[in-house]
Amino acid sequence: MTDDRQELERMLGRIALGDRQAFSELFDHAGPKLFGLCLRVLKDRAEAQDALQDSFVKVWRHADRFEVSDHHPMSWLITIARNTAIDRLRALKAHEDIDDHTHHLTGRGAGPEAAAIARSEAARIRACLAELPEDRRNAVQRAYLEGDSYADLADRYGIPLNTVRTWLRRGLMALRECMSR
Amino acid sequence: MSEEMPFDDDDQMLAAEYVLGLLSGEDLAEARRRLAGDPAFALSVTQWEIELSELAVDVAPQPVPAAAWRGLETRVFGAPDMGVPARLQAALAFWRGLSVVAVLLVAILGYLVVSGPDVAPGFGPSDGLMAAEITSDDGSFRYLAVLDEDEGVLQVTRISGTAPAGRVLQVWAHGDDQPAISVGLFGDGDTARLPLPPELRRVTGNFTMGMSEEPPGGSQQDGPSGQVMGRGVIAGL
Repeated sequence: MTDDRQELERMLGRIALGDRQAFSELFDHAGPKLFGLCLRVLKDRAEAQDALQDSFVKVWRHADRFEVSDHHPMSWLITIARNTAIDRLRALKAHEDIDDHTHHLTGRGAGPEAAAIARSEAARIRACLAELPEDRRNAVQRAYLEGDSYADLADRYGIPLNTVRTWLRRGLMALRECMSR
Repeated sequence: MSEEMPFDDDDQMLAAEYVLGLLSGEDLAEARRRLAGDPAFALSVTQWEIELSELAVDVAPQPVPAAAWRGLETRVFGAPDMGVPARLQAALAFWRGLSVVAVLLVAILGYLVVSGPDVAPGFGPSDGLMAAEITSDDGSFRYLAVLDEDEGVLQVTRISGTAPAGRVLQVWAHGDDQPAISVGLFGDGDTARLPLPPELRRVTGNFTMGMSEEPPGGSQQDGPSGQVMGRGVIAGL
């Protein structure tokens, strides 16, 4: 995992310098995972392929931002692909203002805390997710992977629209607390 | 001048909601403002992005269609677009009703349009351009193949028929008494311009082509592993 991380960081560093070979390597390396994610979100091969391409166009253009961010390389790539796929899904659903939901990449280095975040262990994140009550974990998951809005979640879990935000925030807060233990 | 901004639970929740895409209206506008001007908020957003990306860990990787890389390469590096021009694509539907001879003439003309002024106008063996159809026995699967001997390129264009769901089309060719060699994957577009492997550039006599349906990424063995969808021959090289 550490090797993989260093490998990805090396590729992104070279891509930031305009290295096409590194870009091709990254596509081979991370493409299947990100395509799987796009497919999971969009459930349509053609749409997922477009989202994958859009994602990698962003990677090519913004690889320099990765270097000054506090991201893990894989979570940075996943965030780009997930946001791209969700934006596309919402544009397809067209029931909301697309621009309103367009995601922006974070790309601002934030000093000494960065190292602390980098040490956040995947296993711990997963354990904390697992600690959430099942309905809230599913709700967080649905928002992340299916692009559910608060209205969708209220509908799905039979919660009044005006309390669904408080309900989900309680789950997110529990997650935050678990993470900072 | 800048005072430490208080960062509380509400800020954490706002960051999480931003990452999940749950914000709209004034809340979203506020999150964007904070993201641009408040490092603590930006850090919290990054932190949530890292943590929530774990939700994607169980998502299984999927083989990427070959066309995805080619399309991406063109978009990012601006490789020349060798595809069939739009007006030619529009004509494809019309071609389906035409005779084989007419189709082949149009195919070569179309190839000349695509290839530009480097290729002399006209068609036929003297120009090193030859065309044939790759078809199934029942005619439901029809592709045009134009062989450019000078450039060492085989251009294949769809008229009708596709690979079964979840499969890709692979183009093969061989000379007489030779084993089939992969020319390349057809991809998801309507046309593919495939450089010929060196062995195929030396073919004389009959140039036999086939297209098979294969798993994503193409056949894992030397020859076709799936069903051969169509065949075609360019005679007399």
